[in-house]
Amino acid sequence: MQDSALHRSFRDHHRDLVRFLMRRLRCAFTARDLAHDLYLKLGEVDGAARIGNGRAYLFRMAANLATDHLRGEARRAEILQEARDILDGGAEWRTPERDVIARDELDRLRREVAGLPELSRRIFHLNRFEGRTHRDIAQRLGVSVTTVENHMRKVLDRLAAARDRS
Amino acid sequence: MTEPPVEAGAAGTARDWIVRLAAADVGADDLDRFKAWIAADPAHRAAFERERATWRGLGVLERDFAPRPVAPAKPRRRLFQVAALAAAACLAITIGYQPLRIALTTDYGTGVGQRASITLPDGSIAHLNTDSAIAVRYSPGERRIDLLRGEVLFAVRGDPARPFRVAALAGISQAVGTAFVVRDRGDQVLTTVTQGTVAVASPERGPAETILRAEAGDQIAYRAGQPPRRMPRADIGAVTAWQQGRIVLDGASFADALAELERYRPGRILLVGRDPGSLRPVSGIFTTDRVDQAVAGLAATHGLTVSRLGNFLTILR
Repeated sequence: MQDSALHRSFRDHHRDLVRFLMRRLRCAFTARDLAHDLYLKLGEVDGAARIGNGRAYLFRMAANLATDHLRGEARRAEILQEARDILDGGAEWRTPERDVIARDELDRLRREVAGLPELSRRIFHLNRFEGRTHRDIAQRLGVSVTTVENHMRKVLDRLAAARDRS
Repeated sequence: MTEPPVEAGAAGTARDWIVRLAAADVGADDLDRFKAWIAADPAHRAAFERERATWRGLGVLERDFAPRPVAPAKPRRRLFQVAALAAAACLAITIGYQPLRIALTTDYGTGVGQRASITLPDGSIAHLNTDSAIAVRYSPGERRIDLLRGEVLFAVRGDPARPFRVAALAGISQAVGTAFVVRDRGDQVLTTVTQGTVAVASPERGPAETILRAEAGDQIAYRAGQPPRRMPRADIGAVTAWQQGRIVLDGASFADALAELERYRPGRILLVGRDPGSLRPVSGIFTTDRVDQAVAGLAATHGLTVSRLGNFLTILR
Protein backbone atom coordinates (compact mmCIF):
# COMPACT_ATOMS: atom_id res chain seq x y z
CA MET A 1 0.00 0.00 0.00
CA GLN A 2 1.38 3.38 -0.88
CA ASP A 3 2.13 5.72 1.94
CA SER A 4 0.11 8.87 1.43
CA ALA A 5 0.00 12.14 3.34
CA LEU A 6 -3.17 10.80 4.98
CA HIS A 7 -1.33 7.76 6.25
CA ARG A 8 1.32 9.96 7.77
CA SER A 9 -1.35 12.18 9.28
CA PHE A 10 -3.04 9.08 10.68
CA ARG A 11 0.16 8.04 12.41
CA ASP A 12 0.64 11.54 13.83
CA HIS A 13 -2.88 11.57 15.26
CA HIS A 14 -3.27 7.89 16.04
CA ARG A 15 -3.58 8.30 19.79
CA ASP A 16 -6.07 11.15 19.48
CA LEU A 17 -8.12 9.16 16.98
CA VAL A 18 -8.28 6.14 19.27
CA ARG A 19 -9.29 8.34 22.18
CA PHE A 20 -11.90 10.06 20.06
CA LEU A 21 -13.34 6.67 19.05
CA MET A 22 -13.16 5.45 22.62
CA ARG A 23 -15.21 8.37 23.79
CA ARG A 24 -17.85 7.67 21.15
CA LEU A 25 -17.88 3.91 21.58
CA ARG A 26 -16.95 3.53 25.24
CA CYS A 27 -14.89 0.48 24.38
CA ALA A 28 -11.12 0.50 23.95
CA PHE A 29 -11.20 -2.79 22.08
CA THR A 30 -13.66 -1.62 19.44
CA ALA A 31 -11.97 1.77 19.24
CA ARG A 32 -8.68 0.12 18.31
CA ASP A 33 -10.41 -2.13 15.79
CA LEU A 34 -12.13 0.79 14.12
CA ALA A 35 -8.93 2.84 14.09
CA HIS A 36 -7.30 -0.07 12.29
CA ASP A 37 -10.22 -0.25 9.80
CA LEU A 38 -9.82 3.46 9.26
CA TYR A 39 -6.14 3.04 8.43
CA LEU A 40 -6.96 0.33 5.88
CA LYS A 41 -9.62 2.52 4.32
CA LEU A 42 -7.12 5.31 3.74
CA GLY A 43 -5.72 3.24 0.88
CA GLU A 44 -9.09 3.53 -0.90
CA VAL A 45 -9.25 7.30 -0.59
CA ASP A 46 -8.83 8.86 -4.01
CA GLY A 47 -5.53 10.63 -3.93
CA ALA A 48 -6.66 12.96 -6.72
CA ALA A 49 -9.38 14.38 -4.50
CA ARG A 50 -7.49 17.18 -2.79
CA ILE A 51 -7.93 16.90 0.92
CA GLY A 52 -7.24 20.25 2.47
CA ASN A 53 -7.09 19.41 6.16
CA GLY A 54 -5.90 15.86 6.75
CA ARG A 55 -6.62 15.90 10.46
CA ALA A 56 -10.23 17.11 10.06
CA TYR A 57 -10.73 14.58 7.27
CA LEU A 58 -9.49 11.71 9.46
CA PHE A 59 -11.75 12.66 12.34
CA ARG A 60 -14.74 12.93 9.98
CA MET A 61 -13.98 9.43 8.71
CA ALA A 62 -13.64 8.17 12.27
CA ALA A 63 -16.97 9.76 13.24
CA ASN A 64 -18.67 8.03 10.28
CA LEU A 65 -17.15 4.67 11.19
CA ALA A 66 -18.31 5.09 14.78
CA THR A 67 -21.84 5.96 13.67
CA ASP A 68 -21.99 2.93 11.36
CA HIS A 69 -20.74 0.74 14.17
CA LEU A 70 -23.34 2.04 16.63
CA ARG A 71 -26.10 1.57 14.04
CA GLY A 72 -24.99 -2.03 13.54
CA GLU A 73 -24.96 -2.51 17.27
CA ALA A 74 -28.47 -1.11 17.58
CA ARG A 75 -29.71 -3.47 14.85
CA ARG A 76 -28.07 -6.36 16.63
CA ALA A 77 -29.64 -5.19 19.88
CA GLU A 78 -33.10 -5.31 18.32
CA ILE A 79 -32.53 -8.89 17.21
CA LEU A 80 -31.31 -9.83 20.69
CA GLN A 81 -34.30 -8.07 22.21
CA GLU A 82 -36.60 -10.21 20.08
CA ALA A 83 -34.77 -13.40 21.08
CA ARG A 84 -35.21 -12.33 24.67
CA ASP A 85 -38.92 -11.66 24.19
CA ILE A 86 -39.31 -15.15 22.77
CA LEU A 87 -37.57 -16.68 25.79
CA ASP A 88 -39.18 -14.43 28.40
CA GLY A 89 -42.65 -14.64 26.92
CA GLY A 90 -42.72 -10.93 26.13
CA ALA A 91 -44.43 -9.17 23.20
CA GLU A 92 -46.39 -11.62 21.03
CA TRP A 93 -44.80 -14.61 22.74
CA ARG A 94 -46.87 -14.34 25.89
CA THR A 95 -48.64 -17.51 26.99
CA PRO A 96 -51.61 -17.75 29.34
CA GLU A 97 -50.04 -20.31 31.72
CA ARG A 98 -47.72 -19.20 34.43
CA ASP A 99 -44.33 -20.82 34.64
CA VAL A 100 -44.58 -22.33 38.07
CA ILE A 101 -43.10 -25.74 38.71
CA ALA A 102 -45.00 -28.15 40.95
CA ARG A 103 -43.37 -29.01 44.28
CA ASP A 104 -42.55 -32.65 43.54
CA GLU A 105 -41.22 -31.74 40.10
CA LEU A 106 -39.05 -29.07 41.70
CA ASP A 107 -37.59 -31.64 44.11
CA ARG A 108 -36.69 -33.92 41.19
CA LEU A 109 -35.07 -31.04 39.34
CA ARG A 110 -33.13 -30.01 42.41
CA ARG A 111 -31.72 -33.52 42.87
CA GLU A 112 -30.78 -33.61 39.19
CA VAL A 113 -28.97 -30.26 39.48
CA ALA A 114 -27.02 -31.52 42.51
CA GLY A 115 -25.81 -34.47 40.44
CA LEU A 116 -24.58 -32.35 37.50
CA PRO A 117 -20.85 -32.04 36.85
CA GLU A 118 -19.35 -28.90 38.36
CA LEU A 119 -18.48 -27.46 34.93
CA SER A 120 -22.03 -27.96 33.65
CA ARG A 121 -23.48 -26.19 36.64
CA ARG A 122 -21.00 -23.35 36.29
CA ILE A 123 -21.71 -22.86 32.58
CA PHE A 124 -25.45 -23.04 33.09
CA HIS A 125 -25.29 -20.52 35.93
CA LEU A 126 -23.26 -18.05 33.89
CA ASN A 127 -25.74 -18.22 31.02
CA ARG A 128 -29.13 -18.64 32.68
CA PHE A 129 -28.59 -16.49 35.74
CA GLU A 130 -25.84 -14.05 34.79
CA GLY A 131 -27.00 -13.67 31.21
CA ARG A 132 -23.55 -14.12 29.73
CA THR A 133 -23.13 -15.07 26.08
CA HIS A 134 -21.71 -18.44 25.10
CA ARG A 135 -18.70 -16.72 23.64
CA ASP A 136 -18.09 -14.81 26.85
CA ILE A 137 -18.40 -17.99 28.93
CA ALA A 138 -16.08 -19.91 26.61
CA GLN A 139 -13.39 -17.25 26.98
CA ARG A 140 -13.80 -17.00 30.72
CA LEU A 141 -13.54 -20.72 31.31
CA GLY A 142 -10.99 -21.42 28.59
CA VAL A 143 -13.19 -23.87 26.67
CA SER A 144 -14.66 -23.80 23.15
CA VAL A 145 -18.06 -22.32 22.31
CA THR A 146 -19.16 -25.81 21.18
CA THR A 147 -18.31 -27.16 24.63
CA VAL A 148 -20.48 -24.46 26.21
CA GLU A 149 -23.36 -25.31 23.85
CA ASN A 150 -23.01 -29.02 24.58
CA HIS A 151 -23.10 -28.47 28.33
CA MET A 152 -26.16 -26.23 28.04
CA ARG A 153 -27.94 -28.76 25.88
CA LYS A 154 -26.99 -31.67 28.15
CA VAL A 155 -28.21 -29.87 31.27
CA LEU A 156 -31.55 -29.09 29.62
CA ASP A 157 -31.88 -32.69 28.42
CA ARG A 158 -31.19 -34.09 31.89
CA LEU A 159 -33.57 -31.66 33.55
CA ALA A 160 -36.30 -32.43 31.01
CA ALA A 161 -35.82 -36.14 31.66
CA ALA A 162 -36.05 -35.55 35.42
CA ARG A 163 -39.15 -33.42 34.88
CA ASP A 164 -40.88 -36.11 32.81
CA ARG A 165 -40.00 -38.92 35.24
CA SER A 166 -43.03 -39.33 37.45
CA MET B 1 -43.53 -41.97 30.61
CA THR B 2 -42.93 -42.61 26.91
CA GLU B 3 -43.80 -39.92 24.44
CA PRO B 4 -44.63 -40.30 20.77
CA PRO B 5 -41.39 -40.11 18.74
CA VAL B 6 -42.48 -37.05 16.78
CA GLU B 7 -43.11 -35.09 19.95
CA ALA B 8 -39.90 -36.32 21.54
CA GLY B 9 -38.03 -35.00 18.51
CA ALA B 10 -39.82 -31.69 18.76
CA ALA B 11 -38.93 -31.42 22.46
CA GLY B 12 -35.25 -31.93 21.62
CA THR B 13 -35.39 -29.35 18.85
CA ALA B 14 -37.20 -26.98 21.20
CA ARG B 15 -34.36 -27.33 23.71
CA ASP B 16 -31.87 -26.66 20.93
CA TRP B 17 -33.71 -23.44 20.19
CA ILE B 18 -33.69 -22.43 23.83
CA VAL B 19 -29.94 -22.91 23.99
CA ARG B 20 -29.53 -20.96 20.75
CA LEU B 21 -31.78 -18.05 21.81
CA ALA B 22 -30.20 -17.86 25.26
CA ALA B 23 -26.71 -17.77 23.76
CA ALA B 24 -27.40 -14.05 23.21
CA ASP B 25 -25.58 -13.87 19.91
CA VAL B 26 -28.33 -14.90 17.49
CA GLY B 27 -28.59 -13.35 14.04
CA ALA B 28 -31.60 -12.30 12.00
CA ASP B 29 -31.42 -15.56 10.01
CA ASP B 30 -31.61 -17.60 13.25
CA LEU B 31 -34.82 -15.83 14.18
CA ASP B 32 -36.26 -16.46 10.72
CA ARG B 33 -35.49 -20.17 10.98
CA PHE B 34 -36.96 -20.30 14.46
CA LYS B 35 -40.21 -18.67 13.34
CA ALA B 36 -40.42 -21.00 10.34
CA TRP B 37 -40.00 -24.00 12.64
CA ILE B 38 -42.72 -22.75 15.01
CA ALA B 39 -45.09 -22.07 12.12
CA ALA B 40 -44.49 -25.46 10.49
CA ASP B 41 -46.48 -27.49 13.04
CA PRO B 42 -48.66 -26.59 16.05
CA ALA B 43 -46.88 -29.37 17.93
CA HIS B 44 -43.66 -27.39 17.59
CA ARG B 45 -45.12 -24.43 19.37
CA ALA B 46 -46.55 -26.65 22.10
CA ALA B 47 -43.20 -28.39 22.57
CA PHE B 48 -41.37 -25.08 22.66
CA GLU B 49 -43.72 -23.60 25.24
CA ARG B 50 -43.34 -26.65 27.46
CA GLU B 51 -39.52 -26.50 27.39
CA ARG B 52 -39.61 -22.76 27.83
CA ALA B 53 -41.80 -23.09 30.91
CA THR B 54 -39.11 -25.32 32.46
CA TRP B 55 -36.36 -22.90 31.41
CA ARG B 56 -38.17 -20.03 33.07
CA GLY B 57 -39.30 -22.05 36.06
CA LEU B 58 -35.65 -22.85 36.77
CA GLY B 59 -35.33 -19.29 38.02
CA VAL B 60 -36.08 -20.51 41.53
CA LEU B 61 -33.12 -22.90 41.40
CA GLU B 62 -30.43 -20.25 41.04
CA ARG B 63 -28.83 -21.19 44.36
CA ASP B 64 -28.62 -24.83 43.33
CA PHE B 65 -26.60 -23.86 40.27
CA ALA B 66 -24.43 -21.31 42.05
CA PRO B 67 -20.79 -22.25 42.62
CA ARG B 68 -20.33 -23.80 46.07
CA PRO B 69 -18.74 -21.30 48.40
CA VAL B 70 -15.04 -21.74 49.05
CA ALA B 71 -12.74 -19.65 51.23
CA PRO B 72 -12.94 -16.13 49.81
CA ALA B 73 -9.93 -15.44 47.64
CA LYS B 74 -9.16 -11.79 47.06
CA PRO B 75 -7.33 -12.03 43.73
CA ARG B 76 -10.29 -13.88 42.25
CA ARG B 77 -12.65 -11.09 43.10
CA ARG B 78 -10.26 -8.64 41.52
CA LEU B 79 -10.11 -10.68 38.35
CA PHE B 80 -13.90 -10.85 38.26
CA GLN B 81 -14.11 -7.11 38.62
CA VAL B 82 -11.84 -6.65 35.64
CA ALA B 83 -13.95 -9.04 33.61
CA ALA B 84 -17.18 -7.33 34.63
CA LEU B 85 -15.72 -4.00 33.72
CA ALA B 86 -14.64 -5.22 30.32
CA ALA B 87 -17.98 -6.81 29.63
CA ALA B 88 -19.69 -3.59 30.55
CA ALA B 89 -17.48 -1.57 28.26
CA CYS B 90 -17.63 -3.84 25.28
CA LEU B 91 -21.04 -5.50 25.51
CA ALA B 92 -20.39 -8.77 23.70
CA ILE B 93 -16.64 -8.71 23.40
CA THR B 94 -15.10 -9.97 26.59
CA ILE B 95 -11.82 -9.00 28.11
CA GLY B 96 -10.62 -6.05 26.09
CA TYR B 97 -6.94 -5.71 26.65
CA GLN B 98 -7.09 -2.03 27.48
CA PRO B 99 -8.95 -2.57 30.80
CA LEU B 100 -6.67 -5.49 31.55
CA ARG B 101 -3.56 -3.44 30.90
CA ILE B 102 -4.90 -0.71 33.16
CA ALA B 103 -5.60 -3.27 35.88
CA LEU B 104 -1.94 -4.24 35.92
CA THR B 105 -0.68 -0.73 36.65
CA THR B 106 -3.56 0.39 38.88
CA ASP B 107 -2.91 0.97 42.49
CA TYR B 108 -6.45 2.04 43.28
CA GLY B 109 -9.60 1.79 41.21
CA THR B 110 -13.37 1.87 41.31
CA GLY B 111 -15.88 -0.07 39.24
CA VAL B 112 -18.80 1.48 37.43
CA GLY B 113 -21.19 3.01 39.96
CA GLN B 114 -18.65 2.80 42.81
CA ARG B 115 -16.90 5.57 44.75
CA ALA B 116 -13.91 5.37 47.05
CA SER B 117 -11.81 7.65 49.24
CA ILE B 118 -8.16 6.73 49.60
CA THR B 119 -5.63 8.17 52.00
CA LEU B 120 -2.34 8.48 50.14
CA PRO B 121 1.02 7.85 51.81
CA ASP B 122 1.53 11.57 52.61
CA GLY B 123 -1.93 12.03 54.14
CA SER B 124 -3.46 13.66 51.05
CA ILE B 125 -6.78 12.16 50.05
CA ALA B 126 -7.95 10.95 46.65
CA HIS B 127 -11.71 10.65 46.18
CA LEU B 128 -12.35 8.40 43.19
CA ASN B 129 -15.56 8.79 41.21
CA THR B 130 -17.20 6.00 39.22
CA ASP B 131 -15.04 3.86 36.89
CA SER B 132 -11.78 5.58 37.80
CA ALA B 133 -8.21 4.39 38.38
CA ILE B 134 -4.97 5.94 39.60
CA ALA B 135 -1.39 4.79 40.00
CA VAL B 136 0.54 6.30 42.90
CA ARG B 137 4.20 7.06 42.19
CA TYR B 138 5.77 8.83 45.09
CA SER B 139 9.46 9.63 45.18
CA PRO B 140 11.54 11.80 47.57
CA GLY B 141 11.26 14.86 45.31
CA GLU B 142 7.75 14.45 43.93
CA ARG B 143 4.29 13.13 44.81
CA ARG B 144 3.09 11.90 41.44
CA ILE B 145 -0.27 10.37 40.56
CA ASP B 146 -1.10 8.97 37.14
CA LEU B 147 -4.79 9.32 36.36
CA LEU B 148 -5.40 6.22 34.27
CA ARG B 149 -9.12 6.63 33.84
CA GLY B 150 -12.11 8.55 35.13
CA GLU B 151 -12.34 11.39 37.64
CA VAL B 152 -10.65 12.04 40.97
CA LEU B 153 -10.89 14.84 43.52
CA PHE B 154 -7.59 15.42 45.32
CA ALA B 155 -7.42 17.09 48.72
CA VAL B 156 -3.73 17.83 48.94
CA ARG B 157 -1.69 18.18 52.11
CA GLY B 158 0.74 21.08 51.82
CA ASP B 159 4.42 20.25 51.33
CA PRO B 160 6.35 22.90 49.33
CA ALA B 161 9.42 20.68 49.13
CA ARG B 162 7.54 17.90 47.44
CA PRO B 163 5.12 19.07 44.74
CA PHE B 164 1.91 17.11 44.20
CA ARG B 165 1.39 16.38 40.51
CA VAL B 166 -1.39 14.61 38.65
CA ALA B 167 -0.47 13.35 35.17
CA ALA B 168 -3.11 12.58 32.56
CA LEU B 169 -3.00 12.52 28.75
CA ALA B 170 0.64 13.62 28.65
CA GLY B 171 -0.19 16.77 30.63
CA ILE B 172 0.10 17.57 34.29
CA SER B 173 -1.74 19.47 37.05
CA GLN B 174 0.42 20.55 39.94
CA ALA B 175 -0.70 21.81 43.33
CA VAL B 176 0.73 22.89 46.63
CA GLY B 177 -1.76 22.55 49.50
CA THR B 178 -5.03 22.67 47.63
CA ALA B 179 -7.98 20.66 46.32
CA PHE B 180 -8.84 20.00 42.73
CA VAL B 181 -10.65 17.57 40.44
CA VAL B 182 -9.02 15.99 37.42
CA ARG B 183 -11.23 14.22 34.92
CA ASP B 184 -10.03 12.22 31.92
CA ARG B 185 -12.84 12.42 29.38
CA GLY B 186 -11.06 10.18 26.90
CA ASP B 187 -10.16 12.84 24.38
CA GLN B 188 -9.48 15.66 26.81
CA VAL B 189 -8.63 16.29 30.43
CA LEU B 190 -10.56 18.73 32.58
CA THR B 191 -9.05 20.17 35.76
CA THR B 192 -11.30 22.08 38.16
CA VAL B 193 -9.82 23.86 41.18
CA THR B 194 -11.97 23.80 44.30
CA GLN B 195 -9.43 25.42 46.66
CA GLY B 196 -6.03 27.09 46.40
CA THR B 197 -3.96 27.25 43.24
CA VAL B 198 -3.07 24.70 40.58
CA ALA B 199 -0.70 24.93 37.60
CA VAL B 200 -1.70 22.94 34.52
CA ALA B 201 0.94 22.11 31.91
CA SER B 202 0.41 20.31 28.62
CA PRO B 203 2.57 18.79 27.35
CA GLU B 204 4.27 18.10 30.64
CA ARG B 205 7.62 19.57 29.65
CA GLY B 206 6.57 22.26 27.20
CA PRO B 207 7.60 25.93 26.91
CA ALA B 208 6.35 28.48 29.43
CA GLU B 209 3.27 29.47 27.42
CA THR B 210 1.91 25.92 27.76
CA ILE B 211 1.41 26.41 31.50
CA LEU B 212 -1.76 27.96 32.97
CA ARG B 213 -2.37 28.88 36.59
CA ALA B 214 -5.84 28.35 37.99
CA GLU B 215 -7.55 29.55 41.17
CA ALA B 216 -10.60 28.16 42.97
CA GLY B 217 -13.53 27.97 40.55
CA ASP B 218 -11.31 27.97 37.46
CA GLN B 219 -11.57 25.19 34.97
CA ILE B 220 -8.80 24.25 32.55
CA ALA B 221 -9.04 21.80 29.66
CA TYR B 222 -6.35 20.27 27.48
CA ARG B 223 -6.03 17.64 24.79
CA ALA B 224 -3.03 15.37 24.35
CA GLY B 225 -0.04 17.37 23.19
CA GLN B 226 -2.00 20.62 23.00
CA PRO B 227 -1.68 23.62 25.31
CA PRO B 228 -4.23 24.07 28.10
CA ARG B 229 -7.21 26.40 27.58
CA ARG B 230 -9.35 28.29 30.08
CA MET B 231 -12.99 27.14 30.23
CA PRO B 232 -15.95 29.12 31.60
CA ARG B 233 -15.77 29.26 35.39
CA ALA B 234 -17.19 26.19 37.02
CA ASP B 235 -19.91 25.72 39.59
CA ILE B 236 -17.77 23.88 42.13
CA GLY B 237 -20.84 22.39 43.80
CA ALA B 238 -21.97 20.84 40.52
CA VAL B 239 -18.49 19.55 39.61
CA THR B 240 -18.04 17.84 42.97
CA ALA B 241 -21.68 16.77 43.47
CA TRP B 242 -20.68 13.16 42.84
CA GLN B 243 -19.01 13.16 46.23
CA GLN B 244 -22.46 13.33 47.75
CA GLY B 245 -23.75 10.80 45.25
CA ARG B 246 -25.42 13.38 43.04
CA ILE B 247 -25.22 14.30 39.37
CA VAL B 248 -26.04 17.93 38.67
CA LEU B 249 -26.95 18.87 35.10
CA ASP B 250 -27.58 22.48 34.18
CA GLY B 251 -28.74 22.89 30.62
CA ALA B 252 -26.63 19.98 29.35
CA SER B 253 -27.29 18.78 25.81
CA PHE B 254 -29.30 15.56 25.72
CA ALA B 255 -26.28 13.62 24.42
CA ASP B 256 -24.04 14.99 27.21
CA ALA B 257 -26.70 14.20 29.82
CA LEU B 258 -26.88 10.58 28.62
CA ALA B 259 -23.10 10.29 28.57
CA GLU B 260 -22.93 11.65 32.11
CA LEU B 261 -25.55 9.22 33.44
CA GLU B 262 -23.94 6.36 31.54
CA ARG B 263 -20.79 6.74 33.63
CA TYR B 264 -22.53 5.57 36.77
CA ARG B 265 -24.04 2.31 35.56
CA PRO B 266 -22.59 -0.67 33.73
CA GLY B 267 -23.27 -0.92 30.03
CA ARG B 268 -24.29 1.40 27.27
CA ILE B 269 -27.24 3.68 26.66
CA LEU B 270 -28.06 4.06 22.98
CA LEU B 271 -30.36 6.59 21.39
CA VAL B 272 -31.84 4.99 18.27
CA GLY B 273 -33.58 6.69 15.37
CA ARG B 274 -33.53 10.19 16.85
CA ASP B 275 -31.16 13.06 16.30
CA PRO B 276 -29.86 13.93 19.79
CA GLY B 277 -29.58 17.56 18.67
CA SER B 278 -33.34 17.72 18.21
CA LEU B 279 -33.97 16.91 21.88
CA ARG B 280 -34.32 19.58 24.57
CA PRO B 281 -31.37 20.25 26.89
CA VAL B 282 -31.51 18.74 30.35
CA SER B 283 -31.42 20.34 33.79
CA GLY B 284 -31.86 18.45 37.00
CA ILE B 285 -30.31 16.73 39.98
CA PHE B 286 -30.05 12.95 39.94
CA THR B 287 -28.61 10.41 42.35
CA THR B 288 -25.74 8.20 41.24
CA ASP B 289 -27.27 5.03 42.66
CA ARG B 290 -30.60 5.48 40.90
CA VAL B 291 -29.41 6.22 37.40
CA ASP B 292 -31.89 3.88 35.73
CA GLN B 293 -34.73 5.91 37.22
CA ALA B 294 -33.09 9.07 35.95
CA VAL B 295 -32.85 7.58 32.45
CA ALA B 296 -36.50 6.53 32.59
CA GLY B 297 -37.47 10.02 33.71
CA LEU B 298 -35.45 11.69 30.96
CA ALA B 299 -36.99 9.37 28.39
CA ALA B 300 -40.50 10.15 29.61
CA THR B 301 -40.02 13.92 29.50
CA HIS B 302 -38.57 13.70 26.00
CA GLY B 303 -41.22 11.37 24.61
CA LEU B 304 -38.87 8.38 24.27
CA THR B 305 -39.45 4.76 25.23
CA VAL B 306 -36.88 2.71 27.11
CA SER B 307 -36.14 -0.94 26.48
CA ARG B 308 -33.44 -2.92 28.20
CA LEU B 309 -31.35 -5.77 27.01
CA GLY B 310 -29.81 -7.61 29.90
CA ASN B 311 -27.79 -5.43 32.18
CA PHE B 312 -25.58 -4.06 29.48
CA LEU B 313 -27.71 -2.27 26.94
CA THR B 314 -30.45 0.31 27.33
CA ILE B 315 -32.13 1.57 24.18
CA LEU B 316 -34.02 4.84 23.95
CA ARG B 317 -36.17 5.42 20.89
